Amino acid sequence: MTQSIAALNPARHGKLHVVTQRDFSHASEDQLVPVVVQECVDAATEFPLVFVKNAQTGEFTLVAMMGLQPQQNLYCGQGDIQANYVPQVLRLHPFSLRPSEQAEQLMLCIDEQSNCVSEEHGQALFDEQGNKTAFLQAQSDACMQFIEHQQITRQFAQLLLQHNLLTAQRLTIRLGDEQPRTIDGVYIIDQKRLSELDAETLATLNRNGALQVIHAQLLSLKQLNRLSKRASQR
Amino acid sequence: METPKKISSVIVLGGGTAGWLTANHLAKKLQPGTANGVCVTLIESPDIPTIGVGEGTVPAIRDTLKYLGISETELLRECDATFKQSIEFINWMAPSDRQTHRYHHVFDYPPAEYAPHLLDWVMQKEQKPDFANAFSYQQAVIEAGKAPKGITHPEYEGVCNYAYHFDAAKFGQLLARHARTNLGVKHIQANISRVDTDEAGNICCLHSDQGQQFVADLFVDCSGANSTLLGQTLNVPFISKKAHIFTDTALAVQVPYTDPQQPIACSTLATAQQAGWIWDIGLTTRRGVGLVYASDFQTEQSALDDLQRYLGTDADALTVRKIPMRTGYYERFWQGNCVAVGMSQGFVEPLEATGLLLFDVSARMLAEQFPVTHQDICRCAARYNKKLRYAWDRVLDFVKLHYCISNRRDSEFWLAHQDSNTWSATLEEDIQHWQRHLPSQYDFTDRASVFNLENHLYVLYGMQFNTMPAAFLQQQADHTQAQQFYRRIADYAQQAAKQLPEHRDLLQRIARFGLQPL
Ligand SMILES: Cc1cc2nc3c(=O)[nH]c(=O)nc-3n(C[C@H](O)[C@H](O)[C@H](O)COP(=O)(O)OP(=O)(O)OC[C@H]3O[C@@H](n4cnc5c(N)ncnc54)[C@H](O)[C@@H]3O)c2cc1C
Repeated sequence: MTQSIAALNPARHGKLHVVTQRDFSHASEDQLVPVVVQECVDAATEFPLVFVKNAQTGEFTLVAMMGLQPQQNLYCGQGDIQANYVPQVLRLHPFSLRPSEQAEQLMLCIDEQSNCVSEEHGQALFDEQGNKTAFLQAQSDACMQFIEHQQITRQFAQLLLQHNLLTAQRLTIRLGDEQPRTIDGVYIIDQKRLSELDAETLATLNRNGALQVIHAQLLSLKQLNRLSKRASQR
Repeated sequence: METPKKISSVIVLGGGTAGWLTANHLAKKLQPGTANGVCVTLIESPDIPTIGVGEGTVPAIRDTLKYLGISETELLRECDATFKQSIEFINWMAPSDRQTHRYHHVFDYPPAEYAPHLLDWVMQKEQKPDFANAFSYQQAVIEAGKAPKGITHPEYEGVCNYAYHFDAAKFGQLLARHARTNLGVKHIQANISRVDTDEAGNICCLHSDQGQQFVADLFVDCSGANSTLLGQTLNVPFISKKAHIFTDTALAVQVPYTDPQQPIACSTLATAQQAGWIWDIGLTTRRGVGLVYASDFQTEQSALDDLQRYLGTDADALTVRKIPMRTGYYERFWQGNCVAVGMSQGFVEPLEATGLLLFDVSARMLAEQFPVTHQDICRCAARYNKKLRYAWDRVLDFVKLHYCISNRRDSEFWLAHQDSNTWSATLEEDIQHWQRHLPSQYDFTDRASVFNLENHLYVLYGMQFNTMPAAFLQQQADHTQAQQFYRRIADYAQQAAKQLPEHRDLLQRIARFGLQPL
């Protein structure tokens, strides 16, 4: 998958078009999809939101759970997505901003193998002179904004750690008559410690918007039932 | 009757690792700055340098750092620290079939169910697997060049048990910063040039060469090998242990890496020499190497040659530091209102990296059993002296064990170590016992000691110590069950060695992303 992601350049990608009619087959094996705090309230109406650790960096990453086991996505089928809310990162596809090899610089990349990419249909990326089209510029801006939101999301995780509000949680899933299944490596807000916070800290968390995200995260755990139901219907 | 006077202030004299570790432990428990707290002040000389060596630790350090509230990420980033999973002993036995003898004292204890299989292992005669490899999967991890944990493990947790190698000076600075900024320790720079005592033999005042005076209820002597208060002022006698442990000099060097990406050993390498041994410790930025030798058995020039030979071409242009070592301890560690922690209480060569360990144990014991009033001192001192003397004796025996069960006969040094006249009575009894009986928990129950049964097993059987249990016991060995046990260990070893990250790679990731607190 990663091999097909390349930095955009007009010489190589001058003829490419991207179909904006949404196809989400690229995510059909993503169990966990990263989300940013700005979309938590919306995402919480559809998916359980939890923290997991990034395997490369160990950092806490906020994700929407879309499956109950690795490589399972209970929302994305043959191209379409069955959800009232679609996380930003999926909507940005096939574009992403990634750090270049040497310099700590971000480059706009495209997934060349994506079903959305074509040489005939959809929106052009470059004009005849090799300049970015307005469409590509808009995509690039959206990616940039997403990176900024991710940075704020990272700070949110730091804030939770600072106040000792994260806790490891084993999720237990019951599917019909099967043995209950457990999922480890998941971290959620510790409700007990939240309730013990002093008034001043609470007021600060409220003012900077963190409290809303905290509650969205807590409520979102109820969506596990939705996942179980979908899984047993498969 | 007047109420006994409360102890409300402590002075720690000395700012080496022992001094700052003690100040941290005291302040953590005694809460300076709070209503009922005890004031903790550390005085160090701006002129007398710290010893500047002491780069190897044992796993107990992790508990201490976590307890004190120091972040593991900070330790690893700021002290050039690396993970230590074992000591690899090289050449501690004579070569057999021209093969260099090597074994690991790994930090992971064997899995709980190992005990019945010990008999099987001891009874196997030919071509048996290494003891450490048969009973623990950690050696496989080390030999694969892997770290004891991954980037997603929380601070101070891992798959394998571990300690650290670090830059001693930087570690001292980290401890100092934590004590001052987070725990409320007062810090004064002064050369203490005179000490006043009262008629009862208590210390009452320290004078600096600038005419300052410092008074406190209790004084902790962390002045290093000088033992300024306990030894020099209170004249507590020193008990030499040179008759058991002959090494008395160290030659230390710092060796740069030739390639910045050179793999870093995850063990301390301890390579035996004709009259001592060489430590080799990999930090992120350099190696620390040193020869410990016995000057009664070897000239300095010959020792330097041994070190040169070990270092190979790396040896040119390196500055060698010579450090005298005096093995033994003071008859009492706590006398009157003076408690010694650190090299001021005694010294044993760093073979099992016991320096910091003993000082950590002493400092924590002092902090947790701290006398409330002057009346408590006598009782607290007696208990402290008894416990610590015991711990020191066990550590001395354990260090000596490495030498005296060797089969090397190539120099007077090794022959003298094997002569049971140079053994302590307790060690001689242990060895005789273990020739007939498997080492067991019975041998360790009364030991509030720092090395346990499992540590002894790795050394004894790593060195092919011969235990010959009674015939009725021998027939009870269950080889089939034991085979299954060894296979489980081997499977796990293979998995762990595959999954864990490479040592330097993990250290670089930690430098960049840090470890998470949970
Ligand atoms: C060769 C060698 C290798 C070692 N390897 C290890 C190892 O691998 N692992 C391990 O755990 N330990 C090891 N050790 C032991 C370890 O180095 C020491 O235990 C540790 O550094 C503690 O030393 P210290 O603080 O007691 O003394 P020092 O570091 O000597 O500190 C003494 C302090 O007292 C102050 N001071 C002294 N006199 C005065 C005065 N009159 N006025 C004011 N201040 C004064 C000095 O300024 C200094 O701050 C090793 C030791 C040696 C010699």
